[in-house]
Amino acid sequence: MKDERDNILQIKKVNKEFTIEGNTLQILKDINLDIKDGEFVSIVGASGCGKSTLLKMIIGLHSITGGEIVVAEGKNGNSATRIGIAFQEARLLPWFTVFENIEFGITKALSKAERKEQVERLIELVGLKGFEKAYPRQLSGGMQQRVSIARALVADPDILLLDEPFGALDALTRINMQNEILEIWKKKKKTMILVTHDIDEAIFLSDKIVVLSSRPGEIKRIVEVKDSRPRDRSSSNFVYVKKKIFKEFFDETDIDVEYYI
Amino acid sequence: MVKKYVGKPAKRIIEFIIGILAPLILLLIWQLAADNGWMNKSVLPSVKKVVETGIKITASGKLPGHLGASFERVLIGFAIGAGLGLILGILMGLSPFLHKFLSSLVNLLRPVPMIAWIPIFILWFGIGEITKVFVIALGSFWPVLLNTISGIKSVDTKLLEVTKVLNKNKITVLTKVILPGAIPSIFTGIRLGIGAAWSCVVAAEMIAATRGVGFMITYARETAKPGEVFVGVIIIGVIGLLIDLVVRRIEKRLLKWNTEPKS
Ligand SMILES: Nc1ncnc2c1ncn2[C@@H]1O[C@H](COP(=O)(O)OP(=O)(O)O)[C@@H](O)[C@H]1O
Ligand SMILES: [Mg+2]
Repeated sequence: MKDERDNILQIKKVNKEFTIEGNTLQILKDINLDIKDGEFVSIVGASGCGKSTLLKMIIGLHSITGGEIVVAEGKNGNSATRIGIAFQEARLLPWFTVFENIEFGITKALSKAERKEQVERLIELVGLKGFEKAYPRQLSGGMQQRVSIARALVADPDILLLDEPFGALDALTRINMQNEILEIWKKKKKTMILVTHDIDEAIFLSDKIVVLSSRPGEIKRIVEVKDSRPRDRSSSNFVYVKKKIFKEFFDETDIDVEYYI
Repeated sequence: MVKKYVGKPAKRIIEFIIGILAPLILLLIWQLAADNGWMNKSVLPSVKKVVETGIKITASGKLPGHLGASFERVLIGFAIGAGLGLILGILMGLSPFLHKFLSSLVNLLRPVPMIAWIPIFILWFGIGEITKVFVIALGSFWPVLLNTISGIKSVDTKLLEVTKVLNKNKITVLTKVILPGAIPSIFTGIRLGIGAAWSCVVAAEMIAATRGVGFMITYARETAKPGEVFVGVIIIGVIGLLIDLVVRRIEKRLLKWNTEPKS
């Protein structure tokens, strides 16, 4: 069952320390993770264990204290692998409308008509038609989060980092968005790295679930899910995997690195 | 929804009445004081007398002439002061070095009252227009400078991270993120700056001028025309109020994203 795809991202022995007022705090310890092109990977862990920090290191917003993160060379004629992110908070520009905020995500030089077409396509995709001219403060938290995802998608990145993107959504919208993300992933064959604290969500979407421990954040276990999609949340294997992951959080002694189903 | 439609204009009218109540009461007390001779007529003319004087000197062109002179000075002085305040404020807000380099100087000069500068400017530039424009420029410079600096510095670092991730260049970051974020604060500075300019012009004209509202008031007092003194003072207040209203309007337009009601 060896996966022959190329690694698009390799996290090698990565450590992260923050120094606050002279105190050095180890946040992440010895993180090793290979992510294949087109893979859907979820990272689960308690709040504060360093999930956002890991994503920020991948995209270059945080320095790496030790180890290295290797990003593969670009494909399809791009010089580099492009990484996009939807932050944990929507982080929209309050003075831009929905349309302008998504347009702000475009990184290529495009004509005005092309920009318009791309933005409209994404507005449709995230279900915000009719809200083009609304300002962020006129939107609910969940709608803002969708604008943020659209802004990340409009640049068509090779790797998309999603930091708890559905946290602000109600249960129904959440499931809708999960289905939509799955569609985008299938259609575009993007590599996706999703941070979440929703284990159901992780199992529903991912090829691989990385379970992080707390203080310092270490990889406790990597769980692979091989069921075909769309997955039935009540299937026996789904529930089985869920139990496995739950066990990780309440049984700190188990330190197996990999677990195959 | 229906209730809201009925309620809104009524609420506005009530708010308007509450708003003008205090000035009306003051006017009433004033009229009572004049009618009953609580104060000497040469010190406190009646409301009627002041209104008549106001109409008379407006019709004769005297008041518009003085107002025009003051306005011109305010416009030039404010444009210079606010312009420089804005530019230096942006630079000091963006450059920590420049901020460190200049902030002690700013903190040293800023508390000096405008009145204290006037003799110095007269020494340097004489009693001409330059002195008055300089006083106004300096008066509007400080609030614009300080509020621009604080607006630029309070930029949301989380939004800056967004621009970094999206590979935006410095000009885009400045024009699309830093400046729009600073605009509410800059507008506060501009409102305070225009107010300061308007008070400075009157102060400067009282000390050294042959035209302008400030001069009109001083001259009327010297020639024992209390009616004109009061017209002058009231018109200064009214115009200050109108300027503030206009600037607020513009601000509301520009800051639609911040003021439009939530859906
Ligand atoms: N810029 C920073 N400076 C200092 N400490 C930080 C910084 N960013 C995050 N931390 C700390 O690192 C830890 C992990 O944060 P984070 O990655 O946001 O956690 P998670 O996303 O898993 O909830 C937290 O304890 C947080 O306080
Ligand atoms: Mg987080």
